Amino acid sequence: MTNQPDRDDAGRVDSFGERQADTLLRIAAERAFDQLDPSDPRNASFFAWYAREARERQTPAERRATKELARVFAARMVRRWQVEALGVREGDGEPRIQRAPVAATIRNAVELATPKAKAPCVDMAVAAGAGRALWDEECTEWVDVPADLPPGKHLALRVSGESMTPFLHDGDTVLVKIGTELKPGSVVVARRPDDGYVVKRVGQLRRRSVELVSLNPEYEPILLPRDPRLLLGTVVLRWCTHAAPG
Amino acid sequence: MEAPRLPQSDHDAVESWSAVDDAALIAGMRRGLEAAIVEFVDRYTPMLIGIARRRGLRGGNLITAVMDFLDSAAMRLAVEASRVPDPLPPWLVVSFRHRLRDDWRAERRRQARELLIATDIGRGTQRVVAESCSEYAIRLTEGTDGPDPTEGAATWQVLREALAIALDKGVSEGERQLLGYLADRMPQREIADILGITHGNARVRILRLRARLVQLARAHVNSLPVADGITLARFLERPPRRTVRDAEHARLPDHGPARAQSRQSARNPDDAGDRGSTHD
Repeated sequence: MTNQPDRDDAGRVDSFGERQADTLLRIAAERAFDQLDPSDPRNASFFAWYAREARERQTPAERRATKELARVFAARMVRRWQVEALGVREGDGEPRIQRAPVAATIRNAVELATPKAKAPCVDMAVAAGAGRALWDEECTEWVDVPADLPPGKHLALRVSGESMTPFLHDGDTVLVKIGTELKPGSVVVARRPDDGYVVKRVGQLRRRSVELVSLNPEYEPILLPRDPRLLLGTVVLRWCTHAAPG
Repeated sequence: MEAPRLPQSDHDAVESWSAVDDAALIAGMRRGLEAAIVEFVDRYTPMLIGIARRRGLRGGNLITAVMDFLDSAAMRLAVEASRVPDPLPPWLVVSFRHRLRDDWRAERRRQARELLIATDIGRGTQRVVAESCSEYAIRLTEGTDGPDPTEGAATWQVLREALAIALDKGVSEGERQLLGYLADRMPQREIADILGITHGNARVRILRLRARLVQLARAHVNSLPVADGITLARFLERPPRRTVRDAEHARLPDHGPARAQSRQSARNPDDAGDRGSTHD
């Protein structure tokens, strides 16, 4: 569009300039917007155009307000998404880690800690060594289990790797409810026979296998046989020390 | 042509999301990426604000309506594994319009309920039921004015109250509200407007309510001892008498049933004087 005003044959500036035309266009668009049927596929391109126009026509102040609104909204929604889509709660601050009162294998530590509303804590990078079951690892730390969690046996794991970013980062701690329940969309800890333990989201459930997907698209989904012995449990809570981006 | 690289994480700038299409944006939201959600809100909020503004919303109400809708729509898109609506903008427009209409209706209902409480129309349930149920229910209100000499006044007064209680127990809160309006002789169009429904819909609700009250009355009559049941049934089956209120309405220079009735009475003068004193 040119910034030069239109002129008639006599060289006079046409009073019906671009700004007025824009106003008329907006009025016509709004009228059309209210009259057009959104469910008609022929009008789809109009509504896409209208959405773009509405965004571009914002004043700088409106644009700033929308950005701020979007930022606040997104931060709140991510927390809700974790609970509703993944079924994982956010832990308060950092996990309260303490030294285990007795040295025991994880198998025994779970039994000892559960009545005291605590869970053994273990580093996945250490525990996930190929060939060894997690249950035989020595456990030296316990964490407090929040009182408002449903009862059950829990195990805290310190995550290593970036396959579940942005939900889980290297060094985050997750609380796993020990069990063999598999729910699509939930986050589980499973044992890969060759690689040790992994934290993944449950994808498709098939009769003989289960698809485990990473939230980070750079990691390929993996298929595991549907064997309860390979499943450690479901992640119910995470402690994330990373600052929320944005 | 090489496909543009999609942003992979929140570490990618929010600006890079502005170039992606809706399907990729929702895929990002389904991975819980905050930057994708920011872009979604930034992309569609101005359009939704425009719709809300043209529906008459302003200020805080406008922002609340848009944010509430985005909250549910974005969560639905991000959580459900269903197919992504394609194209997305018309889907948002339709959903948001429905939401605004629902909100408007809920607000009108709330206002109507408050008005009902404030004016205390609902207090006298017997009066409400009697004045709105049907012609024979109108008879029920006449007890205090002039009990039927052929029946024991005390007996049918008790029966009348028991019937009113039975009817009241059988209606829902919404139906009671509707009865309040009918008791106020509010036109159907106004009722429809207050309830936020169409005129036809209001008419159907009133017809159903009448049918329901008749059904409740029948059930109540059947539940009474035989003698009382017969007395009440006879009372209900009698042709209606004209009340003082009807006579006042007939004199009013107004259109409607009362005037039609007065015209009818003028054509049949015998009938006009007879209705009030006819007994079985």
